[in-house]
Amino acid sequence: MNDMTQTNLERALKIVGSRPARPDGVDKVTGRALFGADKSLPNMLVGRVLRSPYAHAKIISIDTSKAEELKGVKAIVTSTDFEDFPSEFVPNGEMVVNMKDITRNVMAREKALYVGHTVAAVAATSEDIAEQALALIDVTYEVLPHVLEVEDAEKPGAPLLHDDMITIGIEPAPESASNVAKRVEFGFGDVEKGFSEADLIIEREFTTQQVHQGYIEPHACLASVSEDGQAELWCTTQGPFVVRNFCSKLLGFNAAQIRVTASEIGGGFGGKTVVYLEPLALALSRKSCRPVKMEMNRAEVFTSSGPTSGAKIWVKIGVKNNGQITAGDCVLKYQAGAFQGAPVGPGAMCAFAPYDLKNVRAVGYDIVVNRPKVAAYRAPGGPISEYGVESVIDEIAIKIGMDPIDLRLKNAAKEGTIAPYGPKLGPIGMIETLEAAKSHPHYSAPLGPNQARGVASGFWFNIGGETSSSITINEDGTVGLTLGTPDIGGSRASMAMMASEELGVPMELIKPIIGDTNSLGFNFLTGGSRATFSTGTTVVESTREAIEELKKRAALLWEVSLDQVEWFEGHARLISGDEPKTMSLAQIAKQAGKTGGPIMANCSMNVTGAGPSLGTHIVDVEVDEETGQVSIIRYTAIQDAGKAIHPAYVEGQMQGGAVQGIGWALNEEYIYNEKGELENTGFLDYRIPVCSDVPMIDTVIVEVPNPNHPYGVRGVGETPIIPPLAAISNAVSRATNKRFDELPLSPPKVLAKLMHG
Amino acid sequence: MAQLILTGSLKNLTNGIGEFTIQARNVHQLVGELKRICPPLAPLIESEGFAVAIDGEIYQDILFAPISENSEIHLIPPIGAG
Amino acid sequence: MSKTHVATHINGDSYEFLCNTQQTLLDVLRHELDLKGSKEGCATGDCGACSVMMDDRLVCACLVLGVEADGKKIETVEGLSTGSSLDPLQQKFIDLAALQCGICTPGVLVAAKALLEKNKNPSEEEVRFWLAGNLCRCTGYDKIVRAVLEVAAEARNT
Repeated sequence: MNDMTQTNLERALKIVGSRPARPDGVDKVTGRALFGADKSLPNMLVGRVLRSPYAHAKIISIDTSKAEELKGVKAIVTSTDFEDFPSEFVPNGEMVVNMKDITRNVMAREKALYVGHTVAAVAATSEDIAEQALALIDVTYEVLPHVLEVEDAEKPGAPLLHDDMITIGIEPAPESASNVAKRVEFGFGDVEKGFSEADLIIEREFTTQQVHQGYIEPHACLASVSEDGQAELWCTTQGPFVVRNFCSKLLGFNAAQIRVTASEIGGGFGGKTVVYLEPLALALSRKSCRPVKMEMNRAEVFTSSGPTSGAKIWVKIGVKNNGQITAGDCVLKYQAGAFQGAPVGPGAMCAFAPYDLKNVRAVGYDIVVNRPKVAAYRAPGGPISEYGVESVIDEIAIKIGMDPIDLRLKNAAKEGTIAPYGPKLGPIGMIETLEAAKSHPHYSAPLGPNQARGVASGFWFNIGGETSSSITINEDGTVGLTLGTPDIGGSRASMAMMASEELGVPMELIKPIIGDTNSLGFNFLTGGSRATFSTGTTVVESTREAIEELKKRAALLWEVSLDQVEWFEGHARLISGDEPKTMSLAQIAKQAGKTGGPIMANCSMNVTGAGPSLGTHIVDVEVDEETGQVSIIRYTAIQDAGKAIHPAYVEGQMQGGAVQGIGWALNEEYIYNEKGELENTGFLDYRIPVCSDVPMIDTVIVEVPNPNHPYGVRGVGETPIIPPLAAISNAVSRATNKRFDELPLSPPKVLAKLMHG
Repeated sequence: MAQLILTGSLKNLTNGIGEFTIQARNVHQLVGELKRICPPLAPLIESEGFAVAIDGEIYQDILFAPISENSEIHLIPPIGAG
Repeated sequence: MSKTHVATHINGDSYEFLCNTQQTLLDVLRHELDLKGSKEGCATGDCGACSVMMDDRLVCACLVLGVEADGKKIETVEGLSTGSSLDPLQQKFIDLAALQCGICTPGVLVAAKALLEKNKNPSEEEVRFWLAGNLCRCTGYDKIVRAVLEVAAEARNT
């Protein structure tokens, strides 16, 4: 692949790097696009969910008899309708999941583990009847003491969520169960020795709160299981193939029995990578033999889908007076929610990854609490750990009197740096983003009263994974692309652009669609910033295969050998011969039937070689000392994209990630009462940034090509949510001359710090 | 012979030994070798879905990723997707 | 429960429907009339994904009852384009990549059009405060605000 890469990067690009209209644009601006809740079927039932009112309770019994008698109720399911599984980690696509936990999260079995945990589901002829039926289900609970915070959950004597949870990663293994699912450790060198060489050591504890992805489209699906067990599932998801595998395991279907079609998806950010309603709708449909539609309301999205962890973290960094870091150490304690699986592993791996360190250690703990089971959220685990590290880096810069970008440059990771998780890094753009930040006019612009500037960097790995796509050349010379990764942010445009670039035909002639699970080989989900990288790789490979076939057909018609034909700007061209001869793609396509049959190609592979993306953000804040209100005055996001296929959508990822990070930094948090009930279950008081909260988000796209992608793509979606947390906290700390170590920096918290220190 | 380097909590499984010399031409053979010379490590790759970094390149679940004579190999957890 | 007969105008056409008194206008649009362009993000008036015009006033369809539409003029995202020509806002949103997932887009477009009908020359701040009731989680609002400002400027120049 490397050879082709070289030719591509040297070739002048015509489409890649431009800003054409997206293929689904008109559907999206006219209201025509169909999202998860927008599809209906004849004879359809409505499904609703009964949820636990208790944070922690034994389920003694469930009596559904009264509900079943209600006219219009067609099916009721409880845990007895789902298979149980032993505690075992099994691969599901690229994820490793414990099916014992997944089945219990989809439908509570022995215990309800959080307020909002599913206990039963009903399908009825109307929403009203379904709601009435829920009220008639009689569940007997034995309420147990609950625990919400990691520092309480890890104490001896804390209420135990799982009686059999023995901490993994501690030798010798503990003899008794606890709420600590796992301990992980990464690093190398000798941190104690490193600290002994330091002129200055800063050590600080930080707290972050649980936050939700906050996609505007609630979870929704429509399942239809026929009498012979064939199932159709329409749902809003980042990964239809992953949904198929989860659902077939949970319900005892085989993979061929369930066809999953992904709807247009109204935001995901990691939250639509697992299943909630889908197996319930399938189970209800199987029982009633009628289509069942289910939608979460907004409160259910908050209480019962998967947010990301709140955390307690401790960071210690030692540094020479010249800015050389001698050692970095951190301990991360992440909430997993009710079942293990906090993203503390990746959090620990990337905590110090922007830096080239000789002595580094990162320890992480995955701790269960009576909150919803966390799901992936944009760079899962990264924003939390890097917030702590980047805050301490800033404090060091102030203490040793060094510019914070210079301090980062002095320690920046580069090609050949050993990453804290072990391997050597390939080419990465940490230095390039820092230099772009330093020379950006924003960095030297004057500041007003009560204003200050913060900077922070961020690292995310990005991934590849199993991917399959196909290309068809139609008889009239137009082109179809079938892709297996749902398009959340414009990826159909970038795929069509890459195919257009390869083929040399206008993008308007290329129609990309997202295929269902019967139309392609397995695709891992849209996530990990992998779609443009991985699906893009398969699109380029299959397009090149199609071009070979097109050349073959031209060679047949010209009666020359294949090596006499080259592909140039949408045409086959005869290399030798007295007069120049060309044949357009459309001309070849028109005769395809007569020259061997339809032309199509596909590429299925497990894509490797994802390139980490580094980002550096600059933010100016103003702090109102009377109210504690923090305003974002100016914001610049700089990131290494490798290569921006469609720069407008790359900017969009950077801007959107930055503003999600602003929300995490300033406002967003799950607030629980003493009963373990979530108190802010709506957008009114779980306040994501609104249009008037933020300024324009300036962007600078840095391009340090990823040598493993035909056009140099790295993937950009996740990194931009990492730097805002620390950049804003650093700016607020500089504006007030107090170190802030807790998120969100909401007015009451800022005011308390200003008044009491 | 390729070098397998273990850091962090993985060393707990090998009584603190951080480096192994491995004779393997790909990940499939690496798993076989690990079962032989260090049995506690093999399940990590097989069932917990560990990824393997070979000369800095990360491979998740790719059994036939090539390992060369002088390769440096690290075991790392799989990276999640947001 | 007996249903109420409602006669209304939606996007210039007359519609009649029967609805329960507790049904919201959003519910009626989506489920009785099959106009699925208006989206439900919260059902509590916080997200603006169901923004529609009722007698030239911008409202959240989830906070209006279906029966209130009786005798009123309703405009939804489905009525923004005319024949095969898009409204300038719709075209500009495509051209500037002012949408990512697109779930908030119908509501944002209806709200933005309402603003430009009231105010031909809005400042960035006026656009931001007018659209503060339309949540977007993907774009960070930058390209949305630019698109609205550009459409306003182009309308003034023609």
